[in-house]
Amino acid sequence: MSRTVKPETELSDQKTPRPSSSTFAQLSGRIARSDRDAFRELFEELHPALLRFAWRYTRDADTSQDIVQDAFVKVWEKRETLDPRKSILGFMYTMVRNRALNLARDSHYTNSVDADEVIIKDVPPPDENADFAVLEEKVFEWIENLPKRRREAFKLSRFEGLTHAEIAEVMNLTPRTVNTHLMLALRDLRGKLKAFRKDPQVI
Amino acid sequence: MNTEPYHPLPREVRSELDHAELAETLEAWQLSEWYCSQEPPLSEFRQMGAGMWPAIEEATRPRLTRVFIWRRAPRMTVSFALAACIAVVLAVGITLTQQPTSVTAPFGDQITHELPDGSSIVLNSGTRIQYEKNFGETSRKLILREGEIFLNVVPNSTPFVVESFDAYTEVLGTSFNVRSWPDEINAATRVFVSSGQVKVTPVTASELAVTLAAGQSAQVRHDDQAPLVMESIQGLRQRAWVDGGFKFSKEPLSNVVEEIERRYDVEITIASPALETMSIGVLKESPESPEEIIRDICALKITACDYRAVPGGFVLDKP
Repeated sequence: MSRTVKPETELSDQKTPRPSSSTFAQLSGRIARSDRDAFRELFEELHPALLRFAWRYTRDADTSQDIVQDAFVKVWEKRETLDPRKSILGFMYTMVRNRALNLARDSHYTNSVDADEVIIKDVPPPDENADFAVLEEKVFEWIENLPKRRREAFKLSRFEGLTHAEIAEVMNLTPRTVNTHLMLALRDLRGKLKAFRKDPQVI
Repeated sequence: MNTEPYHPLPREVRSELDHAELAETLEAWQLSEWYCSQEPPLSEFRQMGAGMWPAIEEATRPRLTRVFIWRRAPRMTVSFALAACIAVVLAVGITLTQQPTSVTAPFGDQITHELPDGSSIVLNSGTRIQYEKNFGETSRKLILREGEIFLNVVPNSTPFVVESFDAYTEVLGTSFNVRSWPDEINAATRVFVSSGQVKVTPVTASELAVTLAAGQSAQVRHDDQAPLVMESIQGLRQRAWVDGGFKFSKEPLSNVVEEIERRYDVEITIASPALETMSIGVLKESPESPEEIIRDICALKITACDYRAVPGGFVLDKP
């Protein structure tokens, strides 16, 4: 459980970045011309991230698979009307998000559990590096307690790596508002972090 | 070891921060990774999605195939004869008695049956249906006692209704599939629409009716909830049996095994209770024998079971 925080440069070296947005734009163009190989490539590239994205809402493997399968079928069915100026990522994430939210609202799927409940109960075991364990819990709490829209914009940027334009499409906002949400979320988080560093008992 | 993609702090955010703010923000950005520390790694999701491609490919294949299938004559010649025999017996039955008409597809066979209004119905193995002898005069109501049917309904002004244990499925000239085995695990009525429109109503809650378009499917559990509507994929699997396929996704193993028993008229014993509720997927275009399907099931990572042939069937067990 113990972790050390590394400078960002090191992190980016050891982790594989997602293909550039121009790669996706190319795939999108080929898919619009009914290129099945491109469709397959898109699937291979995106399905793990989309499954996890869906799972974050549903906490259920079967439902997540259904949602993501539907999204891929839809993108193929609508391939001829895809807007080449818009990101296909935004399109896919929008479908997965809306479907997941609709299902959650109707709460039809029986296996799902309240996401918060699962994680909060799942307290990390105590270890020698207790400071990190405490901070880890705190970080979770801070993000979870952000206002809803702000939190969603932050998570889409931080954990899904979507651009401002893509988040704007998913959340039906302007890129400008997305940036405001992000700035406020980060200001909140770094304020909490600063206060915690000063006195871990306070926060 | 860690193969998670790392998403850097967006430049739009960077450009609005001064030097000190940037350092703090970068730290907060990095620490927020812990938000996901209780989640399975991305590799696990890749594994979860490994079997999804065939289903997506099937659902996005050129539509021509689907249309073509519906126009095709029923392929089961033997069962056609059998259906004819049953029809004759039924016809005699109807004139002699005033009883409702019952049709049952025997284990090991599927039958095609024509209804008095000209609509045709394919019954999967072991399926029982029933309708009144005046079917088509004032109403068109078909009762699906248990099993799975594929219907091609002749359009006319009289609504066509399929009643199953927990749902009414109402149609106006269309082709669709209804699966409803009340005794299986997670028993539900599952409807898939090939063409036209269908209305599905839970028996206990008529206000929760949903209307399905072609390509959609719905599931009614035996409770007061609104039917769960899904797009194409599940449905395409649902009607695979009509063309000799054997396709299930995320189905409890014992339900799949019961389907094999009915389809091939064999007896299969699940010796290890842990296997029964395991959720599995099977995708066979045209299996030649029950053993072919069972072999596939046992080869699945999650089941990891053995099977052996016994007189009249098979036994599935954990090694």
